[in-house]
Amino acid sequence: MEYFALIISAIFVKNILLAQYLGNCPFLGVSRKMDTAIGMGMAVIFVMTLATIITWSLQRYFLEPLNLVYLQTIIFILVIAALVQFVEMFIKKSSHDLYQALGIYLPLITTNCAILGVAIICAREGHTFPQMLVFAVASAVGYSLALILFAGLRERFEISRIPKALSGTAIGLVTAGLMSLAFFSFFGMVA
Amino acid sequence: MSVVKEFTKGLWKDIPPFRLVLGLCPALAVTKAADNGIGMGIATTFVLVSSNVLISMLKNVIPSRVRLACYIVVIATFVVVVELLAQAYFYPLYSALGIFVPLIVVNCIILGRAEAFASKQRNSVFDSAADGFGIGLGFTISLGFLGAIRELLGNGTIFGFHVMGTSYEPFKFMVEAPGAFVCLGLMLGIMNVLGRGSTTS
Amino acid sequence: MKDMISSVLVLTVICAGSALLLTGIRDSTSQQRKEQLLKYVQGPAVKKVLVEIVGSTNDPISDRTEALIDDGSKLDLFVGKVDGKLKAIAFEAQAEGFGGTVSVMVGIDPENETLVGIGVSAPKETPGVGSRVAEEPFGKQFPGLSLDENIAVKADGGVIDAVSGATISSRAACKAVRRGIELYRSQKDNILSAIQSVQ
Repeated sequence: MEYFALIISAIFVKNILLAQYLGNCPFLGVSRKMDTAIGMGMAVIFVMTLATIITWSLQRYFLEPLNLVYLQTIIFILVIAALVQFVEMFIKKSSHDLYQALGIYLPLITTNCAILGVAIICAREGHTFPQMLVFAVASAVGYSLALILFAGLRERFEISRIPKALSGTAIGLVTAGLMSLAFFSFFGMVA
Repeated sequence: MSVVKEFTKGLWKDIPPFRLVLGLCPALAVTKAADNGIGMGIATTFVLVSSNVLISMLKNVIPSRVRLACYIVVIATFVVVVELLAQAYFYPLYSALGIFVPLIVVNCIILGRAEAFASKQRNSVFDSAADGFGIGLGFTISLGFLGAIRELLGNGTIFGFHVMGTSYEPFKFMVEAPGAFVCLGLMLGIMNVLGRGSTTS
Repeated sequence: MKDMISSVLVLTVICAGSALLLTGIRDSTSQQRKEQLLKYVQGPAVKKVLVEIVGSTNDPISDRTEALIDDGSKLDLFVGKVDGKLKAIAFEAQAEGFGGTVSVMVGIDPENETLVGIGVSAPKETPGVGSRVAEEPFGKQFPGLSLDENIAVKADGGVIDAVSGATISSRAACKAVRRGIELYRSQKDNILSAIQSVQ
């Protein structure tokens, strides 16, 4: 029951993209086409889960015992950057199909603040290992869900008349606001 | 002369996040109130100027292969400096900004300026400092302005002072997440209208 | 090869410089950071428990001391006195809530072995829902309870009414109070001898 609440909360109520404002640059950048949105979504789920497991372990078994929590930011970002490089190298060698699907999105992920954001949230809130795992996966799923839904809306922009001043990022943000309002109505579901 | 030019371009021509569409996350997240927005802007400016200066000084020493790793270490170091100083001297601001203080490290504006400006041979250390300061000031102004609008409509106050009178019913939408997106989107639209003709993005 | 060596060298030097700078800043600001935490996070909770509820006439924030706990760690103790006479002590205890840690300032009257009150310091829970455990109706249930009382929500067989819609947070707050009481009981000698020093 506790985990159910955590999952619903991370996916809908506290959606990292629409309620916590994390990872907006790639959100607006890669959501023009459904295919790229799905690719990015999968890459985020993969990297976020892996990165959070590693940073959580570092926090718990390295930074906290050694009283180095103040170095959290610098260590986490280096770990994430190295991890992304490593994952890119690994899937390039091991699976051509996977590289085709995720490869081009991986470099963009280092500066996706959703990854670092979720890692820091998990570390700060002192989740236990299963809580952390559930939270990381659910957050990533929530991010991908928002990204894919948004890409679906955005494909319609191609055929609709948008005021010239609002074309591009501006209308994207307004649409994201309306989606955020829709997600906002889940508030109160988890108490 | 070039120092002045590098400084002023950040205030209008390349003002983030409107013209230079980067750093959207903090622009959305911390602009519930004008003072939070300005605090975030100042913290970002500090990191931007410091990292621009240091990277510009080190540009001949850093091998291009480990360029990005070095930039990330330099930027992250200054972000931790900001975190520690904010904790020590501006605790209320530090807790209001929450995880967005450490997240300055992934603000694309900073890595973007390091890569696109400070590391270039033709730009001197002073140019890099001016560039960082201009862009940072522009970002501070934008965030302060967005924060003021959202705070005024959503809470009836500016910098905590009531200005709308007692009969004003706060438009709570503006201080919540949906309002942030819509407000920033409309601001971008307004900037597009104002800037039409002079620049094309 | 030469390229490789210079890459590693530069990166190492930059990291070392960074570590040096940060350690310096951390050490020089540590006192200041602790004071800010006292002032903005623990301070309001301490004031609520020791000044508003107990009516202490001293300043419990400046009259604080540290008790050495058996496991070697230190516990910050806040002391509330009325006209120079010890009335209550307060210290922080924590428990896991829904997606976050709830910190509770537990106030204890050592003479009568009762709770004098609790103050929830900075809950990070869902705003508007979980943070209601920090508000009056919930906190008012604690003053006067004996330390032997079953401090738990009624659904768990205890004596506390949970905040409706914030059961997990209410449970976490009760758990933190129970942990505080346990700590007080197991470390009573250490705590009381630490208090002697400020009397």
